[in-house]
Amino acid sequence: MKSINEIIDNSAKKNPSKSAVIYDDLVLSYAELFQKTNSLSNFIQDKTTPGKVISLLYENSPFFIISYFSILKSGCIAHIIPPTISDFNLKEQIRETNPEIILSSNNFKHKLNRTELMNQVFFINNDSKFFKLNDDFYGNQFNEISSIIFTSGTTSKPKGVKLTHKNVLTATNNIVKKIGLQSYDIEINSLSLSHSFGLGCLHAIFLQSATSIIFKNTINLKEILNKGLSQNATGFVGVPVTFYKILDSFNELFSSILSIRYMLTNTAPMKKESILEIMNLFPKTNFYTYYGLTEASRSTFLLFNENKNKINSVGKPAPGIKIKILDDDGKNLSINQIGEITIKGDNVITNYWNNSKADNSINYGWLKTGDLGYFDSDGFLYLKSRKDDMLNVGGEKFTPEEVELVIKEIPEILDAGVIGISNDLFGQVPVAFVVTNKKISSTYIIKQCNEKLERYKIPQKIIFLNNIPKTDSGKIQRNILKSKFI
Amino acid sequence: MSSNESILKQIFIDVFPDVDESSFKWDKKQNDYENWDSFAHLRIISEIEEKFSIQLDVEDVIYITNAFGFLKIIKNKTN
Repeated sequence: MKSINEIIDNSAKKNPSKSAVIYDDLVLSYAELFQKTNSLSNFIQDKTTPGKVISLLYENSPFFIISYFSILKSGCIAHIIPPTISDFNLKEQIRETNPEIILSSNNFKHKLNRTELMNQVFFINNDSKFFKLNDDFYGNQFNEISSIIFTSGTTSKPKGVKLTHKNVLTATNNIVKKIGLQSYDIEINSLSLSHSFGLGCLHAIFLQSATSIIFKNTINLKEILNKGLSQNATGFVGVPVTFYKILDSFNELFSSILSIRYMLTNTAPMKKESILEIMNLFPKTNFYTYYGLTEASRSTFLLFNENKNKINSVGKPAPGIKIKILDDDGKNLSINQIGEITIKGDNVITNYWNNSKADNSINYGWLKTGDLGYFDSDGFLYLKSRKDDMLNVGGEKFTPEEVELVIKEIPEILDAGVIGISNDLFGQVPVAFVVTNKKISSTYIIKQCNEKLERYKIPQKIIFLNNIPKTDSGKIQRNILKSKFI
Repeated sequence: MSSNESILKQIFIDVFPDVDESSFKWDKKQNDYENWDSFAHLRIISEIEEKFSIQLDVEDVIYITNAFGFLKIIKNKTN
């Protein structure tokens, strides 16, 4: 397979009437998905040429899926914008990627109006009619760019991760192999499709001609679980926060879905007691986690059930993926020694989107992840912490510097420092410490943040100080800030 | 409109960029907002806790799917 879009083409040939996507009351077969992506792809080919960027701004919906695969089929690059994006960052990403057109849904009319991007937008919805013109689609794209997804950088500026078809197909094959996905599988995907985790699961399901149940709003867990029950779902994929909420409030409903044969989680370390509780509730269900970054998707896998004494690890490297642990001088470390996790494989990107500074983290195919960890004597990888101060709020990662920069733009703010504090549900939430030149309210600061930052980056608390503790070289002493909070 | 109602209304206007004075509706469903996700939920909760000086339990608020649901909880906690 040389292009991601062949996943749909092949499944449509082999299993045309099989359900590809279930969304509310809508069921889309592989034949319908194939036909709709062909039609929209023809429309895209009419508007632009291969190699150009087309942006996608959608909540989870079949239109996201149709648009995404149509862009790939046209030989264009899909710039995937998370629906949670702030107006400010939306404008920034559009400026950086310079798309020919933006595909979106009516739900984002307000946002696109506010950001003055309406003149570039085509709204794709039930009424969209695109006439099929020809079958001449772009062929082998294996080493070409398929998509751009922005992630937090080690400094303040988000960086565009440039994924090739090869990167994505490698990760997809590894998911299928490790989980043993079958064509009869029906997966509850409680994730955002604009993230690597959710989209990766969708690729794997489509590769196997299986069925994905997606949801516009992944917060309504009762609805999600009821859908899984009525459809006899065989798989469930979700972030740890989702599992915690289910265990807290919908335990009975969850455990009544007896058809579930596998589950998969990722993005943040999961509490050991919750993993054990899930395995107890579903003794015959395989429960997996994995480790990966958008830049190096699905680099390790772990099946909890078979490795009960390794529950705190993230497993062993996936097929074809090499991982080494390096010290600050780039020397290999041995077993049980903590250093920077560095990854090489066909899942690893070659470089970032117009960001030579970020490209320094990739040398001869080896990606320095910024994650610190170690291997045990059995070859299992353990994550310890980050080299930087990256926060992880419910699986969404960002640097404190990004939030600090926005706060420091407020005229009354003299200085600011942001830390992550523990939160039962989200793992971490941000808290900001500020120094002001006159009395201002927390609400005023949060309002300013609201305009420029995604919701998960907005501090849950503002604490006023006389100064921000710093080292002699001017680096914020976040540990002192953390002790002030406790 | 009571002060509780106007404070809560303002919280919704602040959290959701597509909501303003005229478009705010107490019974508008979660699915009809521009991305009422778990982070928006968290922001609403923390704003309510701060503005009303109350503590909300996760079990109390996890089922809430419109502004009216939050108003009922606030009334219970502040009475």
